Amino acid sequence: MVNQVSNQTAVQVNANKDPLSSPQSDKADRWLLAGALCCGTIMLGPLGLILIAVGLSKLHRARQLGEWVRPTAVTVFGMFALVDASINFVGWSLDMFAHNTHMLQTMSWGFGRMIDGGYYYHYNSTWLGGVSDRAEKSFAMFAVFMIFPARIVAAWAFIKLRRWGYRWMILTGWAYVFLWTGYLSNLLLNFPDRFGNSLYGVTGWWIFDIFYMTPFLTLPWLYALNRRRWNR
Amino acid sequence: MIETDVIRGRRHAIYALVAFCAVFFIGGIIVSYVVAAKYGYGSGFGDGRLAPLGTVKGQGFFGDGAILGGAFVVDVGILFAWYWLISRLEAPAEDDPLPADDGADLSRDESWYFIQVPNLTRVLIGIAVFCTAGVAILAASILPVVLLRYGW
Repeated sequence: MVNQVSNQTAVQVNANKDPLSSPQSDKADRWLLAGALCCGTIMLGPLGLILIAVGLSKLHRARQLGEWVRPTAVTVFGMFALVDASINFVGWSLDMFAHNTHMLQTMSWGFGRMIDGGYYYHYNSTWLGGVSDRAEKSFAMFAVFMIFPARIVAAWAFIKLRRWGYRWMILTGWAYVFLWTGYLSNLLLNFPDRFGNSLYGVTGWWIFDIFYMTPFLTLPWLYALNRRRWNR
Repeated sequence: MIETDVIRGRRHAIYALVAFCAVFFIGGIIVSYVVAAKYGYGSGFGDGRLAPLGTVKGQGFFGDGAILGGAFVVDVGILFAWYWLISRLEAPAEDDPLPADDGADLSRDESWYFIQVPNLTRVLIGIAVFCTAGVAILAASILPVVLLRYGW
């Protein structure tokens, strides 16, 4: 439909109402987004989880009211990817851009002493600042500028059923698997400075980091989906 | 390849990916402990060797505030750049059109899957919920734990 706004301007308007958008599900999505943003701040993670739970319950209620909503699994996996990517993105970007602040040094050094020695050993000693391990810093650059911002926007687009969201969830999922492989290899090669230089070593690191297994869980599930459904 | 072969092949590949996940993490954990033993460390609890610390040096309240504010602005810029780029590069177009509506009943979850793996989906959802909570809670706990243990 062409809508004549003025003598000079013609605006294309899509007359088809989005069948997947309803007041209840839109409201639920706003709760989910607010929850993901809170989780992304790192410190407000528990509050973010509560907001996400409210969003999920609102979606459930919308479904009970007979409104059409996407399957719960789509929302759960999308939010899992979004929260994980946000925390990685913000965490590493703070090391990249804010390593000269008192708060970051306190946090990094404490985390380093308990979990990963690389985060206090020779901290701020390279020209890029922050963590001094060259490979760790390279992974941080990859994380902050490439994979995690792309994954954040892909996860939200995936939840909103955009085709490119589905495609980029897969693309960034594989990139994340590659990142895990390189990252873990580097940690093990650098054992004395990283695991060895911390209070809780191997056990502490695995307890803390195993929860970041997002891509390994989502990739098999993504390949089971019918990609025709991501059609906007 | 006929459709049933494609479906069977993809189902096998999906389960192979799940197995790869298990092998990756179990293997990674085992190798970590083997390397720890090789370097003369134990479980990691109480046998770490801490290096001396330097002195925390910030830029003052306003300096730190400006740095953190700047980091926030850069982060938002990076996110926007990626959104702008992908949404334009991958927008549906004549050379890459959206699939036609197949008339499926979208209120049924099965319509969303090309390969039906309901049990696997249920298990993965359970792990995903657990991991989402774990990631958010553990990340949020870093600063409070550090402050309690080592102070500001």
